[in-house]
Amino acid sequence: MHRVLVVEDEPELLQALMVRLTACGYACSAARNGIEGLAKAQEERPDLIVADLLMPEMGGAEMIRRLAAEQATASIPVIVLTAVPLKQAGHVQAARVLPKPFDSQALVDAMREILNPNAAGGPSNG
Amino acid sequence: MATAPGRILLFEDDEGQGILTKDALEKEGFVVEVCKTGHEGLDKLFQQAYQACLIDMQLPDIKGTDILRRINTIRPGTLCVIVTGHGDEIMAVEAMKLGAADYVVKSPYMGHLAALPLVLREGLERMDLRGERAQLQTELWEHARLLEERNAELRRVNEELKRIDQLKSDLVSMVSHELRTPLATIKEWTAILTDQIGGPVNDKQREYLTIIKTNVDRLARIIDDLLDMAKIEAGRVILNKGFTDVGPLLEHVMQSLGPLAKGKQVSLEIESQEEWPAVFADADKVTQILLNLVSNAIKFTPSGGRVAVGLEQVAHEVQFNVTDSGIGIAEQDLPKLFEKFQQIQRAPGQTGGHGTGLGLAISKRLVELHGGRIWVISQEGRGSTFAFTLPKYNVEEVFRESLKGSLERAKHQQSRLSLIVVTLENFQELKSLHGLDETSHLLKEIELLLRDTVRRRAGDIVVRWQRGEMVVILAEVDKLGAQAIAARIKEQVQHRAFALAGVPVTPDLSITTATYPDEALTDEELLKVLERGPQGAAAKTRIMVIDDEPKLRQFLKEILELREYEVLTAENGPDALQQLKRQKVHLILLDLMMPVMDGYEVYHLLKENPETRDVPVIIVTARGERKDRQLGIDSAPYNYLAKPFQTEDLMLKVREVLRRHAANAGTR
Repeated sequence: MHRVLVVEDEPELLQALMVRLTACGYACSAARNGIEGLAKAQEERPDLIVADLLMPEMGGAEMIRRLAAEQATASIPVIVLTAVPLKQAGHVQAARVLPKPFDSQALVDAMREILNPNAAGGPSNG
Repeated sequence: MATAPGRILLFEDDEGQGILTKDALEKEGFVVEVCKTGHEGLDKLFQQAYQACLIDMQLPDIKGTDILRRINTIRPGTLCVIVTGHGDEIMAVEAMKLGAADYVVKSPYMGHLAALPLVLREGLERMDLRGERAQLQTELWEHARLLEERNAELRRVNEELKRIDQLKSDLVSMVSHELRTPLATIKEWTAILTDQIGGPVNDKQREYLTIIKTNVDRLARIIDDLLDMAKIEAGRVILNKGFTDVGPLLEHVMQSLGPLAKGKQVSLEIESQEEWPAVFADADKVTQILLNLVSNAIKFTPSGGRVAVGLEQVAHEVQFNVTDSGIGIAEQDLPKLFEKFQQIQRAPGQTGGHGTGLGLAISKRLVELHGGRIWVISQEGRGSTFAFTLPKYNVEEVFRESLKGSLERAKHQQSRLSLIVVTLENFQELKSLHGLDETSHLLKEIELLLRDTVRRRAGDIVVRWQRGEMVVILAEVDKLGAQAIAARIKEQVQHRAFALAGVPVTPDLSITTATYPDEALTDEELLKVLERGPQGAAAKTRIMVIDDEPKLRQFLKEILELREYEVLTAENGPDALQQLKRQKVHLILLDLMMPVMDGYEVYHLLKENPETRDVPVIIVTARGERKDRQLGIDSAPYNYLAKPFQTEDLMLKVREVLRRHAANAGTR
């Protein structure tokens, strides 16, 4: 089972993502800002991180920079979900950037593609 | 008048001299007070101001120079004239240094008294002038100060506007963020319900959830459109223009909207083209325009109908036509169609979702930003055609565009920009010997050399352009830099062995430069370097055009004059010969097929006449006529120009022939 860390400051959206991704067969944990996300990423070493960009305390961009700077977390792929215009989000080092409001199917497809590169589009066998 | 005699203080210890002087001055209208010692006089000065002081340098108590010093402190600006004895001129000089306006040497018979009023009057007059000047100066300073204040004010306002602008853009992106985040939450929970993650959902409920989703998506589109519109209206849209192939663009539109059309059972077709044109445009923006127009067309076309995208190429533009067999638009609605928030009620009970009311307004602005036009032709019940144009792609346009952009930046950063034009003068000659490919290759080599040299001067190359026989480079170097680069190129080319297909060749280069802002302020002015041709020598060159066809004659005259040649025209041989008797020319363009006297005959007459024998002639012929040159025209092939020709061919030929002729003349 793939482990996914969701970093999102909007509690109700965070909850929705947890419900959705759990239903899709992922083991999820949650963080509400970049600092929490960073700590959990270092502790849990998830297979994938889904993160918002604009968050209090520490935003997604800074968190991604710090993840990349640490050897232990540098290789964890990040999918960014953001309400800021794509052009502004473009400089973030993310595996994928999805604009909000995003399409659940697009998110799940992207996750599968990244986590199962050989069986792209196939069902998760987590 | 400013020179009205005034109050004078006379420092004079000798009573007799004092009385005489006072008399002499009062006769001239001055009011004079006499003091016998320095102290007495200075006390008076403390109490009141005098227009002038007349000072005897030999007072018993204080030295004349010290009195001057004191007056400078107590009453600066008082006119001081000193009176010295014979032999005291050194003291007079000393006094002048201390600010005395003039001096008078006492004469034993009091002759100097007659001069005194004049000296005083002149001094006072001068002082008035000085006062006026000082006042003007003060006014000027005041003016400058006000200007400076106004500048500071403008700077403040500018800063404030920038701040407000930033605030506005912050607000817009904040609003968009604040709206999108809850939308994302609603959309995701709706999707969770629809996907039955929260439990089973019946068909009715699923239908209701679909309505929620449709409206969430619509709201998201409205936010996108509002942001787009705000950006366009703030002038913040920067087009990323470039070579844009139309084919893939339309394919993308087809892929994106194919499903929508299929779902509505509307056929979506793209009229095929033998060769897709390219436009000079921002591909993303063109896609946005097309998606908007085509999705609109699908939306307003009932099932069974047809939507087609077609292309027309007109002059410098590509025209896109989006045609539908839909419900059409009422005539009274057509004028406001491209305005903001115009939701036209096209038909009662129309289906297919709502727009944002901004799509067409955005499309119109985007088209216009590209320098294109957009319009609609429609008939109610018959369908509509939305058409827009975009400029075709051409290198020159790209070059001009980036030149304009660079100039704007240079203006902003107060930096220097130079256009460096290297012309391969023997391009035509080399081309006829070695072929176009090889010659272009040589030009490429020269371009690389130029780029390398520019970089060595730490100049950033902004754009470059290979234009016929020229290499054009725009670089961030100043005038001196550009000239140094030109010199360096010439030097390097001289010491370098060039070969075409193994044959050594000598590139004959001429280099011209123009620098912003030293020599040119606009892109047009900079680009004149291209038109002026090598060495700008064309200006003095006179050319005669002999042609019986008035239109062609006029055309040749105009394009040559555009290149700053001086042009004479003649409609036939005798006319030409007549004119050539009066005026010398450097080059003759001669049409072969003419009535009255044909070109051959004119040619022979020109060559027989010692006056015109050495003038080079370019023979303009229709294609296929060249065989006729056995008829006695022993001219080199490069002196022929075949009709029809391109303007650039003609200019190349003219320059080439003139250059060769000049070279030959030099060796003779």
